[in-house]
Amino acid sequence: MVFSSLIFIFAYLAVTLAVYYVAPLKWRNLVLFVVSLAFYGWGEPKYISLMVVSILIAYIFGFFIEKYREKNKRLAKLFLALSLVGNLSFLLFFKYYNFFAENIGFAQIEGLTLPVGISFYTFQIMSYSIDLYRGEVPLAKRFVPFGTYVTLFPQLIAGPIVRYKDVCDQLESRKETVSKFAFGVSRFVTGLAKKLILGDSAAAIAEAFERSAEFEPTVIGTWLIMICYTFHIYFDFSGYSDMAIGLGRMFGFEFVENFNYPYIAKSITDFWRRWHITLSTWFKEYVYIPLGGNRVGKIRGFINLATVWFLTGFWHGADWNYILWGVYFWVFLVIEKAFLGKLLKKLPPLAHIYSLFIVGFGWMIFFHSDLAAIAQSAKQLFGIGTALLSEGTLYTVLRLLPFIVISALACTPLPKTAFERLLARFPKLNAFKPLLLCLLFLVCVAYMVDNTFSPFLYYIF
Amino acid sequence: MYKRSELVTVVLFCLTVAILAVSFWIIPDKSFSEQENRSLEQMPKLDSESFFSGGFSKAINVYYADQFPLRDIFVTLKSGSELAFLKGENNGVLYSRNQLAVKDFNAYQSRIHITENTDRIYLDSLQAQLKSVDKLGETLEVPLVTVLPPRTVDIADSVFSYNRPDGDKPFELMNTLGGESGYIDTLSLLRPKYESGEYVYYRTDHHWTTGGAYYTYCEIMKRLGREDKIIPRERFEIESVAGFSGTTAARANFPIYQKDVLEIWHLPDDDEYEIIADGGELNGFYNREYLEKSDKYSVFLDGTHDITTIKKPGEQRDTLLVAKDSFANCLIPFLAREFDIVAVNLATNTFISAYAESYGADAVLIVFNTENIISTGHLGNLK
Repeated sequence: MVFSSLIFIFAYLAVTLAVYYVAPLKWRNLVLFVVSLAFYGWGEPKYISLMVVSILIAYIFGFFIEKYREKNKRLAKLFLALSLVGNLSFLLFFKYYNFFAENIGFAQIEGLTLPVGISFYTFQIMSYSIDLYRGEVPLAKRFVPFGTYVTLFPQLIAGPIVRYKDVCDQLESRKETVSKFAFGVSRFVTGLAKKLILGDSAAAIAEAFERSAEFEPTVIGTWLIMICYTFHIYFDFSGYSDMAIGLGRMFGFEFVENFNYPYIAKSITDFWRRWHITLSTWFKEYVYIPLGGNRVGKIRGFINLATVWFLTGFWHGADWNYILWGVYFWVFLVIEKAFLGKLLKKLPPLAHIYSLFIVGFGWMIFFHSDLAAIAQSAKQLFGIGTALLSEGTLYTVLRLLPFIVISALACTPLPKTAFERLLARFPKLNAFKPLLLCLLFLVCVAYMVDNTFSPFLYYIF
Repeated sequence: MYKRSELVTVVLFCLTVAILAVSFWIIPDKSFSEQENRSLEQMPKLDSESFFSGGFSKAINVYYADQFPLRDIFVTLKSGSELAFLKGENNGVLYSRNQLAVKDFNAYQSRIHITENTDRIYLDSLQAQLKSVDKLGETLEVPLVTVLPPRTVDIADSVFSYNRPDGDKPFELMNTLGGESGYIDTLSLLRPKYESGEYVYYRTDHHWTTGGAYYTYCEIMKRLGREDKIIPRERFEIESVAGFSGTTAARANFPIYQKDVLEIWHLPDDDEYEIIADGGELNGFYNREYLEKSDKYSVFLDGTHDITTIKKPGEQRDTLLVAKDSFANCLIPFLAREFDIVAVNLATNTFISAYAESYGADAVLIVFNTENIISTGHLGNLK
């Protein structure tokens, strides 16, 4: 079930909210646990047991880690390793087996599909085991709150990757308030609008241009594809995070932020502080720092960084283009560390253009599993063997220009600050805020109602 | 403490969700949407197989969207919002300068894309389909006439600022059809009429108008050597039905567009024909019940049928076999004044020479529009 579907909002969420708020306080975690399992089982009935086993592994080994942590460090470490290996082996098998088999020459397993959300929940579970070993979190004694932590439906499928230490207190005691709920509604609706109105449209445009590029590739058209990919992935992903944070807030949880206007970044280093923050934090905390971080020699530091970025790329998908995508960023991060960073600070507008282009081209790598296609796109971007513009493309570009401008503005803090300034100047407008939000919500509902329209057969005859 | 606006937000949101969620189950399901002119999805059956394959969850999403309360209002709200972005497009339908709705050319390309990979192969595929038309013309012992009606985007090329390089290539290819195929170039016939302001294609529907069909009828009669039998335009009594909003508009749901006028051209002998469609007798050429619905084009010959036969009792006439899609539905009433008609749906019946033989046809007519040729490939199965 995706958040941007009618059945989620008007069946699942409606029932869940009602049951949750009717249930007595001490039952609320159990309610969340059960409905979250139902949420997962709806979309992934086959693999629900896999997730439960993963939870049990971390939960049970947690007791052993806790028991030996002070007395016998080596034994504790062994149990930590067992717990991590147990969890990672599922991820490795389901996500990467076929990739390795293909590249090594083993027999591939047909029909091996990736369990929904496994990359996210595995990382969440691991954060618990590692932090427990480090003594940074208390032992999860009771199964239900721990199970709730992992399965919590707002963040289960696509993040943010919430670390156990960030929510363990909230699991035991949290307060649901009107203010939190109102904030949750506002974030949820904003995320919904980002995904449905802007993200899906950008995706449709990119797809249409990909198709017409097969007939008449043009420089402008290729740039448009890149720009629309850039919008699509941001609105889609940050919209999803907004919805997750908003939903969490409706149930009293406060998740950490996952995006901070990544497209206003002035360097790649800056971009990765603003994009999918919980993933970068996870890698930093559980891979980069344990490897020695930057408190090692220069060469070793670069290797550590390379490891992190190889893994970051590989985490996004089991294919060469994702690895290339990760390593691609590593290269720019190293260059920025070496000298470019200082230079960029002196040239803010240029720094912004540079960052956007590197990131945008990164999405071209991200979206094309075919390496030859990536090279072809690169050539087309710079007009090598491609016409600048065709009349057909010109018409479409002009037609879509307002949409592109609106999308670009929506990537910046501008709309938010403008809105806040307006409210500060005319405080009476505050009264209309809920109405505006409600209207936006209804527009989103309209997009959900009208997006399954497929009259193909009727249309023809 | 909380602010009042926060409380209002929470109450508004919860009320909206609750009201829509509850009324979804209370309001009885509909089977047809008049505004969108199509059947609506019904509650899918739940069994373990459909649940585990994911088929059920897909179907229930469609069911939810189709049966959602106030669906018509939401659909209009969405197209209005899309127009507000000045994209001039919704659900793959373009909005042109003279309020003509037409399917986005990119959407056509996507259809081509599904079957073939590049422009050239697409033309190859068209060529292959045309070859089977030529072949049919050679094997048939009776004359063949081929009409491949263009799409709105081809006819009304000039009103779209959308430039379509090589847009006329398919028609150039069609013009290479051999003499045996009896090809009638309806693009050259109807585009100049459109340019001179005649109403030959609908604005909101993908079909040609009755007027457009009449021009084609005249050409077919000439081709079959019956030029002297063409019924002059003045003899018809034309009934105009206003407020027709066709399939293209239904798909786009643009809140602002000019509706079409659907014309029925009557002759005094309208009621003297015996028309059997898929075994049931029709009450004349026109099923007027459809005039009350949004699916007004189905007034012609009661919409799509597999096999329709038309005879004029008491008269011995030649038989014309029509292998067709819906474009022929408004054309056949003209031809039926001259011929006994056997009309077969080309999408389901491609063994035309066998039909011609078993019905003792004296001539065969193919009417299959360019959109169908591109997207279905059925023309290539002609035998």
